[in-house]
Amino acid sequence: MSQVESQTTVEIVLPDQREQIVEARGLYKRYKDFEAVKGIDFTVYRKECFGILGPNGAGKSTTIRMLHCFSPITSGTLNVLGEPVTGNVRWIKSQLGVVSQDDNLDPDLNVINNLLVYARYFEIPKAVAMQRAEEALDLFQLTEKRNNKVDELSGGMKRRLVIARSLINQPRLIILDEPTTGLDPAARQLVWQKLRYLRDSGVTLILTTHYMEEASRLCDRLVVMNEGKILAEGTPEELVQKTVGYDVIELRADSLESLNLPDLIENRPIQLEQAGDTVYLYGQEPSALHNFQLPEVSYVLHRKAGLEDVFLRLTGRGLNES
Amino acid sequence: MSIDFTASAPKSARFPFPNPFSRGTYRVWQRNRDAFFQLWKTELWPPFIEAILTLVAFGFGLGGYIQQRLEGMSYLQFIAPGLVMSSVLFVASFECMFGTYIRMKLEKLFDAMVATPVSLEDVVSAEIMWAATRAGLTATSVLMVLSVFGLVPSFWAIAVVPVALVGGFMLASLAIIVTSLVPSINSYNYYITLGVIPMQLFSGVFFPVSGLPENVRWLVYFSPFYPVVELSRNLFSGTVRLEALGLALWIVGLCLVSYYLAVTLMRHRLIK
Repeated sequence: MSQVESQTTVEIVLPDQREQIVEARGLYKRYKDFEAVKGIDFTVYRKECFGILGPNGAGKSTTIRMLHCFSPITSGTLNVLGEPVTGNVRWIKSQLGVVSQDDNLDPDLNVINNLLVYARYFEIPKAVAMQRAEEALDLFQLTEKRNNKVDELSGGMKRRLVIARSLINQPRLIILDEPTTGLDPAARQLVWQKLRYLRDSGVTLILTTHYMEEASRLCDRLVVMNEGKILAEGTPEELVQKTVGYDVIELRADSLESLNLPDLIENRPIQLEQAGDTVYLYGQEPSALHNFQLPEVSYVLHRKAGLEDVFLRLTGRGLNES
Repeated sequence: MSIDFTASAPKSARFPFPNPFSRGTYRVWQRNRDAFFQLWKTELWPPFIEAILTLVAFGFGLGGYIQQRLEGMSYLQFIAPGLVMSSVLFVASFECMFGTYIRMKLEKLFDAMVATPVSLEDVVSAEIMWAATRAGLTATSVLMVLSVFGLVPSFWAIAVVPVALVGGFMLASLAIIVTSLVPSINSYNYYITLGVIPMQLFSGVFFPVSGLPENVRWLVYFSPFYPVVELSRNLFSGTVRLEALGLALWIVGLCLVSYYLAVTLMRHRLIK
């Protein structure tokens, strides 16, 4: 017998039960007379890949340095794994993995010794360190280079080694500052693959980037940062839809005024933004820009909306302009 | 894991004095030791050769013209303890000038270390302790060369090695102070020309301090290197006088002050 039940669905909003790996409230950093981070709030939950997206000078690296307890905070609160960064710093650092923007590998030691010496800083016994070092090298496909000097590695291999090194203490949280800057596309893909694997294994990742592609492909949630402030927060899809819409038409023309774009888009769910010599039309509904008749223009591109557009809408300039 | 970091919460102290014997310092010291032994082929033999060359040039060459006995010794016997300490001066200073600068700025190794439970104080202390270790090794090498030439008069001379370690620690700390202040690697020239070389020339290594005119002699007492040379000469002579204790305390006092300044200034330079 089939029963037809009428159900009323009630939406219940539960407080986020997930473990908080990082909690920042009113986080503020000032260098002499320069305010690098102007009071930001964010939370990072366990097993997510959290991104901080923004141009150079946004305050991302400063935030990262405060997270791994290198720079002291000026004011506000910052708790990492439940411990404030003004508290037991040695303990926090023992639980972290840090991948810095520069490859600060030890050129006086070979690949395997780089890992073993690093393990000593964590008081890891030699036998355990050896085992973990071999595993890390294997994971990042560097095993056959174990006895090579660091200078003999390519840029992509060095980056993989720096990430491998950050795993030696089996960290609960890995912090990466621009992990794939300067890498060729193949190396970048390999690094992303390994980072996804780490996240799926239960490690929380926080990374900074100014590459929209990296943020949208790798991050579960992200914040957009500019000039020391957080402008928006959410999953990549949420951010795009909330701030920009669904798709974009980019166009350039010799005389933009003559196109009379504001009249063309009147009463339609389309928003207009201009940056430099390019005009962007953002469709606020899935079919807003379909069958859109455009006058004569020198350049036109119809594409999906992305994080670059989010940034443009929030700040009036592109991610990679300064 | 053998160490539980939950216990190492920082103690709040208004006047925290750094600790050169901490666990973190030892770990960074080990790194410097391991890196050194990767390079041993280029690093281990120069002290021997330099000692021989200086002995021959000054002791036999110059000394051949000096008939007068200095403080009851031949010129060769006179410069022997000074030469041991001269090598200490250069090894300790250069290790904590160029060695530290390269590790800090060019290789950015300190950033990597400080991302682990090791603190910046540990790293700076390890740089100084490593320089002191190298100074001790160099002093031992020079002592060996001197004994071959028959210039080690008494068993007390072995005590020169701990003096080299402590004196090296102090001179390394001074070099770290300079490192914390230099805007670029070229600026070390100031310290080398106005600090290290005058210390080497005017602290009683090559001629007795009493040889200087009275109105400038008092300047020598400002040289941190002077008590180190005097103490080693004292130990070489075999009759250890009470003033040796005074000299040792002088050196230890200089160590404490220079070490504290070194760690504090490096912290100001690197932690913003």
